Amino acid sequence: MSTLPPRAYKLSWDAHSVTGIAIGLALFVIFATGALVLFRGEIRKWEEPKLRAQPGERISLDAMVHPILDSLSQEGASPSRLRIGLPEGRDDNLHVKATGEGMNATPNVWVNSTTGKWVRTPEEGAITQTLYYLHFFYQLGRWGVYLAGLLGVFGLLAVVTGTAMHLDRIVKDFFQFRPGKTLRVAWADAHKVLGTIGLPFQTMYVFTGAYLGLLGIAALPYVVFLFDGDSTDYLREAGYYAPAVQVDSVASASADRPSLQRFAARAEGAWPDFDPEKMVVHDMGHPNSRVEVIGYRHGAVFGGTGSVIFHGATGEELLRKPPAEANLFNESVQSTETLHFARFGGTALKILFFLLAVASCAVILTGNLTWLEVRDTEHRTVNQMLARLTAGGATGFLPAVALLFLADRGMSGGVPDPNWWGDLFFFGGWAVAIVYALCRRNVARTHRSLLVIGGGLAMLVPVANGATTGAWPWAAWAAGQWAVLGVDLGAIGCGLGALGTAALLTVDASPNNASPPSSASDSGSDPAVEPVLVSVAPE
Amino acid sequence: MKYDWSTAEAWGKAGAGLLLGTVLYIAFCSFCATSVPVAQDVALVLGLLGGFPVWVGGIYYAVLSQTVVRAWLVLGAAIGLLAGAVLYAQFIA
Repeated sequence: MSTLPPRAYKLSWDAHSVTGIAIGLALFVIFATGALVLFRGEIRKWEEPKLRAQPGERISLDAMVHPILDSLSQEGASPSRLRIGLPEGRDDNLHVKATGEGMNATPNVWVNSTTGKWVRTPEEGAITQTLYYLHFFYQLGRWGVYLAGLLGVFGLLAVVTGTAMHLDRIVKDFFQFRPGKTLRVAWADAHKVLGTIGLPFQTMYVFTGAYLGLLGIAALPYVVFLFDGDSTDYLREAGYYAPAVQVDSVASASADRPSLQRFAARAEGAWPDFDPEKMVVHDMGHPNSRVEVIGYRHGAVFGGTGSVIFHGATGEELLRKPPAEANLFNESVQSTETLHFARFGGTALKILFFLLAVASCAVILTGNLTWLEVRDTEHRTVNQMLARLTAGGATGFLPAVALLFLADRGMSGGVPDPNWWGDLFFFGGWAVAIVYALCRRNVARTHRSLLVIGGGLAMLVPVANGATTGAWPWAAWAAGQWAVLGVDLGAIGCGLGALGTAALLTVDASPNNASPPSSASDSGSDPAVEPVLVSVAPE
Repeated sequence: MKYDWSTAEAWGKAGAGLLLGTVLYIAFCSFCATSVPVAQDVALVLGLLGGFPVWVGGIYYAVLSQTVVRAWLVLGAAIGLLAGAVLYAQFIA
């Protein structure tokens, strides 16, 4: 028995299960897309052949950025604000965002750091953006972001109530999985085992997710009370921007664009362990232009940002603030982001986080299935709909994602507005899966069908990539295109996993589960519902 | 459900948890921004990151409280105290 008093235990159990049922599927989408966007850099290279690794040295920052500015500017105009995400390794891509009068509107530009070839999103990319936006429901605009933050808060409530109930037997729960017992026990055991394994991971992610999602609202009291309504000062304090400095105008600015490479190199040499992460150029080409280079201490998980500010016209260093002198707020906010975005630990950590995110999806689904299994004898329409929605929304997510990857390869021949088509295939495919699940009475068979379809489509992903770009897995291996190879192997792994799970599913119509017509009629449920027993075969 | 909820109890506690829990969070953030005698960066961290446990704690308290009235009274009083401290710091002190 739990250390909680019986009444508190019952109330906690109800709060945990109601929260889980209310937000479960939405949280599943967040964790599932989060697992994928951990590798968004790799997926971007997979979907954009121009960004794939090529032999050769990395070209200079100016050689990467200036052609983009030439292309984007109208009549030689320079951007009033140029934001550059600096590549870390040789194979990393550079990110550029330029805004200002006289610039053609461009959301984001990605540049291959060895060839200088570049692509614009969303015009030329679909997968990464669709999955990334779905991770915080940005398809709904800023309200989607707030919704994702609120889901994080309620996820935290589910974690707290679940942990409070199981705290005294957490070690026992960790080792207890009984697939041979009743389905209800098996789902509950799986829920507790996976929940215990992933507890620190899930706690960290719902907490940091709540912070990132609600930042726009949570910051308001501070902006009002501490920064006189200026959100830029708040962001400076949080380390997103460099500190404010006075930039004196020079008599005349050079017509030539400044050497960004030189600024980056000088900033990199400012401290021995400094990793410049982004560069922001304000008022490029103007007499009062300034260049901010912001970065972190190399390899640090916990720590804030440091920055070096240069005069854009004269090159004079105006300010230098090391990461070691970052204030507590800067350190806390940036550490939160480092943890959430897995900006430490390299590929091994991303793979671990991917597996833990998949386990978190399983925790959510097994919680849902436990709830449904407990109510299996009630035959209420709402439970049947929830069971079908779980099948369509969660299991149907796999074929939808596979379809998104396949659609992207199918549109590599210059289809106008591929982003729109990608969204159509992804959301359309997902909607079809949900409608299919809602219409089909045998939920277990729905799960199996969707797993087979999703697994089969996922296995086709490397084939589609090889056929359209020539980067078959062995060719990607030979060319050192590890990102492309990783995505292909990941798709094969997911496909095999889905097909294997489908093969292990025992879909059986058990006469014991059939409800008598009178009982079904009395409870107002669908009298024609098929009795179903679904389990992972213990043998 | 393990607990025998009455309709009034379910709505009353859910309302207290969702509504007052959220207001408590905002009041706590405002309190940290104005009334805690620490450096600005510490106050920001305290409010921004400490606010979420306060929010969840408020909801959890509403669920566990003995009666609906007590949930509303205790959370409302906590909000009143924090809001009072904010008003005092802003307009009187």
